Amino acid sequence: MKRTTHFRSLLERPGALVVPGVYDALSARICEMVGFEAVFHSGYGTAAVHLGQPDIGLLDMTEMVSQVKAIARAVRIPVMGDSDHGFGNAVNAFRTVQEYIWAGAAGLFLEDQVSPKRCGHMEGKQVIPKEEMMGKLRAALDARNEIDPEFVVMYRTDAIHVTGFEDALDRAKAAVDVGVDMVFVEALETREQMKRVVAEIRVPLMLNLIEGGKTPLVPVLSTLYSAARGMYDVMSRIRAEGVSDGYLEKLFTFREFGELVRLDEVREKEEKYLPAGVLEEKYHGKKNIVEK
Amino acid sequence: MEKQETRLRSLLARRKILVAPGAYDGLSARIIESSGFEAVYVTGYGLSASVLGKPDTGLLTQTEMVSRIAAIAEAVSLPVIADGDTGYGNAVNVFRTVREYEKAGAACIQLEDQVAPKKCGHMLGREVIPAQEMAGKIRAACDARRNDDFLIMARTDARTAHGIEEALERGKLYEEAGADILFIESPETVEEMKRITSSFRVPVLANMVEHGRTPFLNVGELEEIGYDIAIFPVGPLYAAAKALQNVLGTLKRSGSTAGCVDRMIPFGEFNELMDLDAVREMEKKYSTGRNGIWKKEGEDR
Repeated sequence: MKRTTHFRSLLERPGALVVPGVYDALSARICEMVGFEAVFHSGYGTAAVHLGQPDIGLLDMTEMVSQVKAIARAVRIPVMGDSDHGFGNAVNAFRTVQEYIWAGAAGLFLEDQVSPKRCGHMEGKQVIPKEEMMGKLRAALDARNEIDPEFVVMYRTDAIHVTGFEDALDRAKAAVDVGVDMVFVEALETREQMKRVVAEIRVPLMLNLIEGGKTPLVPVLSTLYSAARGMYDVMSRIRAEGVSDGYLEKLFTFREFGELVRLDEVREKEEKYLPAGVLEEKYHGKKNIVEK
Repeated sequence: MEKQETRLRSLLARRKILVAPGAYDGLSARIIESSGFEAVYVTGYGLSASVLGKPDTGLLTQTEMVSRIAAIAEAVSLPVIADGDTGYGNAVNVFRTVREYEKAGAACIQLEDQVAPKKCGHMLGREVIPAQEMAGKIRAACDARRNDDFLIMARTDARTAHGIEEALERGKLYEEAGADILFIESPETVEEMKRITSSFRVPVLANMVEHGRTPFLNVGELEEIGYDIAIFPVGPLYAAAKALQNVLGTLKRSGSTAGCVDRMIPFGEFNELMDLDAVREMEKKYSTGRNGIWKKEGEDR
């Protein structure tokens, strides 16, 4: 099944779909291995790993697309893309949707922030007028209808902290009328607001880092923060105490990591495509690239 | 010889106009160099066409621009003046953009005061950001550069919508903010051009676009008016596009390109243009073994 088709069927299931945020091929692969059914590409995480910088609109579309592509290549489950504000106006949003589809994403969200954007939980956000945003969403929907009508287009509004909750809800309703598949009201403040969004918006909703609610629920930074914590702790320890056995239980082993990046599949392909003589020269009869 | 990245400053210090035709890929840059020009201008208009087959309306990303600029800087030994559009965001983005352009091997970045997404300076529908905001972007660009000989060019697009007075005022503000070169886009009379060249201490650039909004003058005339740099950004692109149209039209109509052979660069000459000899020298020097293979084929390419 196409990944866009599969993603739509996941969204149609009752209950919440939990979609962890990932920032590169490895984090996506780990989420797939432990059983998640879809992953969410995080721009915040991509800025951190690609540039070592905060999520304030420094990454351009090419860089984001290249990370989406790397993630989509690494896993078989659907990948939802973070496409910020579409990297310009409606004309740019059109191209952005095309590029995300060609990169292998199953969907993306477009937000109504002024460019350059910033993470939804930072201060200093601004939003573009509703009319302009609806034009961008119409461009996005036209672009996907040309290539893959099943590709999911989600509207994210950052309006709550700029123009207030009522405006955010009004924008979300307008986006549903325009035809978006999903809505993501960013940075909801109260349970009351959550209930109203769920009651008044009739397409699937995405909630960011909030318990409860409808589909899907996104622990968007858990991968990034756990990896950073793990690296920080282990590297601090090595710096302070030197290399010792003490921290080894905090690490994957060489063999485990090989499984993670599917080393076995490389061996299978070699078996299938390399001449027997070459295999013998390489392995002298051994069956695995890393001894088990 | 002075380094590619630093030579622009000394070329501008001569009391002579510098002519930089527009390149949009490695090939056009090589032809500009082999024709004897001393600098290359990398045109965003040309890149939009060459990379995307699209008009110059801000669709290209910074990464796409930088990757092509790096290829052009590698293809020639001339200093590269690179179109940086709006700097791809605000002053914080400009900081990163300047670093990326410097690393790509450019000698100068051109930053304009248009609202993003931008448009070609001879199209209508352009808007400009507040002058003070642009001055902040120029200051960020100056602070960002690691090499003092990397030049910051400020371009204002204010003339078309706000008039020449506003454009000149903006030029002065950008000069104070630290711009090394000023580019007052699309003046509409020779009189306006003369005002531009007599208003600033730093070098000023004339943009010669065929069928554009500015009087189309030759290099001598521009030098006489007092311009320091003349770019002809789209001439090479338009000439190549027309040549392609002709040869492809002939192929479609007649079933052969035989009728246009006299308008093509011969195989040997093209290899010379690409400096194939240099590759052969390297192959000999580093013993790649390719020479033997070629000899067997009886060809000396």
